[in-house]
Amino acid sequence: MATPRPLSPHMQIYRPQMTSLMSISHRVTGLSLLVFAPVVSLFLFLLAFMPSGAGDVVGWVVVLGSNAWGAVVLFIVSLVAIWSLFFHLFNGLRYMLWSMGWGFGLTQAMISGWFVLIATSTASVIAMRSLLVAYGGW
Amino acid sequence: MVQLRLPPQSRVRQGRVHNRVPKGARKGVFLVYRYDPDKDAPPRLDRYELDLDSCGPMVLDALIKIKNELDSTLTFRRSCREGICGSCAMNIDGTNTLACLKPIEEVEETVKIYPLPHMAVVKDLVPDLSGFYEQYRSIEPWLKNATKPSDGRERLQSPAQHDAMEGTYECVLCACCSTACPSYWWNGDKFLGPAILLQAYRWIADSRDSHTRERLQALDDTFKLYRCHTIMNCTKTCPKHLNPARAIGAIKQMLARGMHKKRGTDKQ
Repeated sequence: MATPRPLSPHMQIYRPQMTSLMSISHRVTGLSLLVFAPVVSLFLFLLAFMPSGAGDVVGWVVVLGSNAWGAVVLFIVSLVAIWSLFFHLFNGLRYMLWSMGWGFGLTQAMISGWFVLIATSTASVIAMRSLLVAYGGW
Repeated sequence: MVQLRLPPQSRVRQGRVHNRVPKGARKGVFLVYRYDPDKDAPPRLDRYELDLDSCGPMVLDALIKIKNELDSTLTFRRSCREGICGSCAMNIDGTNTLACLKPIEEVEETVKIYPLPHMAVVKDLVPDLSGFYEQYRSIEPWLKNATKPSDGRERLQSPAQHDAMEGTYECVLCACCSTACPSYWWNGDKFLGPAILLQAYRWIADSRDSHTRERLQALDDTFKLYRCHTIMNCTKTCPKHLNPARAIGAIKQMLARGMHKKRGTDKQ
């Protein structure tokens, strides 16, 4: 054999679908939470022991938010964080049900997938709106 | 290992056009993966245009028509043409299925046909399945029972005992599910994949087999079993409508309950 056998196309040609997209999203949102978790916990640490430092951080964020593009960036970052949180939560529950042996039917898996997507979006919107309402920004 | 891009020599180039459609006929366009091991050239995608009015309804009919009338060099596996032999497994319109069970009409516009994904290609649509069969051998797919049947002739099963195996023995080992699984793409050398795990479960669930504990022990492995992350591409694509994901879930549950450690875990 002159050349080794070629590898048949995989990712390049396989149709994206609910099953695979939900799985990769679970990993991506998990990674995104892994990034946000230390940021939030370090900020809380600062708030507890060095409130002036925390004030500085808030100040930078306010400066960033006063710029139109900065505000867009802040909105996207917070949206990713909130969406990741709820997606990983609801889809994690879906995984737990599978681990208990429930929901392996194809129709069930499709329904639970749509449920996760709808619940995630609803919860994200409710969470963001209630924060805005609580602080009179709506 | 995860390697998202194809190796350079595996990347698919544009191929030739074969067209023999009379004017006014209903035209069907098929893009087919071609690779010739006798030529030192990378794979290509050939375009075949067919008269659908003189072609059978399934994608396999179109492939046979291409081979008969347009291009006799096209190579693919086929045998029963009715979904029971599992030979014509390939990737059609982005998902794995049996060409003989896939109606051409189900595909909108151009029909794209590739070999089963992430496999070494022997020629055209023929992948090398020897690793897959080797993995099948590794689960020892035969009845193991040291005792003689109680009546000295055959091992009887109650309807309930038979039902426990329902949806496992119908598998035709076409490898559609395993090659649809991203985990199998990245770790196909060590992860057994959905088809083989479904067959492993077939013997675990069989009331006539007495080696349940040993079979479970053999599967209790980070790679062999636990590379399954319940993506469920397997169940989604199975042309026989079986559910490998459920079978793998059942194996994981039996292991979580410690059934591979306790003695006397027979299903009787």
